[in-house]
Amino acid sequence: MDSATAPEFDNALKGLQLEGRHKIVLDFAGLDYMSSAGLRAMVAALKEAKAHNGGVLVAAANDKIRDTIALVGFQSLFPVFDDILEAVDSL
Amino acid sequence: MIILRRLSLPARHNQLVVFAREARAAASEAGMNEAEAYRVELAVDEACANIVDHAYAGNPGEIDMEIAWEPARTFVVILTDEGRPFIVPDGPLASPPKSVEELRVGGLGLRIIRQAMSEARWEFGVGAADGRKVNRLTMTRDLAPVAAS
Repeated sequence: MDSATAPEFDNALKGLQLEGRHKIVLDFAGLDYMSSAGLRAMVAALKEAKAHNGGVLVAAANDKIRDTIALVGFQSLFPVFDDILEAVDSL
Repeated sequence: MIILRRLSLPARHNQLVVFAREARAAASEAGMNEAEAYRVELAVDEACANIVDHAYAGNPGEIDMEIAWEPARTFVVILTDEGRPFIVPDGPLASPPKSVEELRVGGLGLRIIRQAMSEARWEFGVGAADGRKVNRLTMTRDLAPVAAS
């Protein structure tokens, strides 16, 4: 996910939130790359979710995605769960 | 210094993946492990995105990338463009956000560049060898010396 593809991700998140869904688990299994463009979409979604008592969690992210999140210091704001069901349970 | 790559492509978001992947491949050739090469890929992606968004800002143009390597010492990526200069905040990086209220979308790319590379130096309106006025970003990554066998 880079600046060419992140707008689609951003639109998908906004679409969910327009439907009133604010408890979101991002299943990143299969995602092997994410630049700051993806992080920006995640930040916007988290802010919107928190404003509606929701949250945004990350599941099944590989080491590279975890590294991207850590490089900008977002580890505590976007907890990464190994398993998607574990993430869903914690919301 | 050994030149590993020279590449010129249109400054468009859909081209950034080419710069980024070439940089990752060059980093691997220079001996970086997968995690280190991924960080170089990220830094190049972010730097090129800044050029598209801020230097060219919707106008057509090109990005030139040159990657050089001094074995066991330094890996260097030089990105050149002919867009307009833009402001790059200097000084130490701000502390990472501790709460959602502190979260900001701005500056993420710059933070990634500075964290991923050993040094990043922007120069705007400098003279290129062919007489053009260009912007130039030089990103270096220190390499661990290879232990003597």
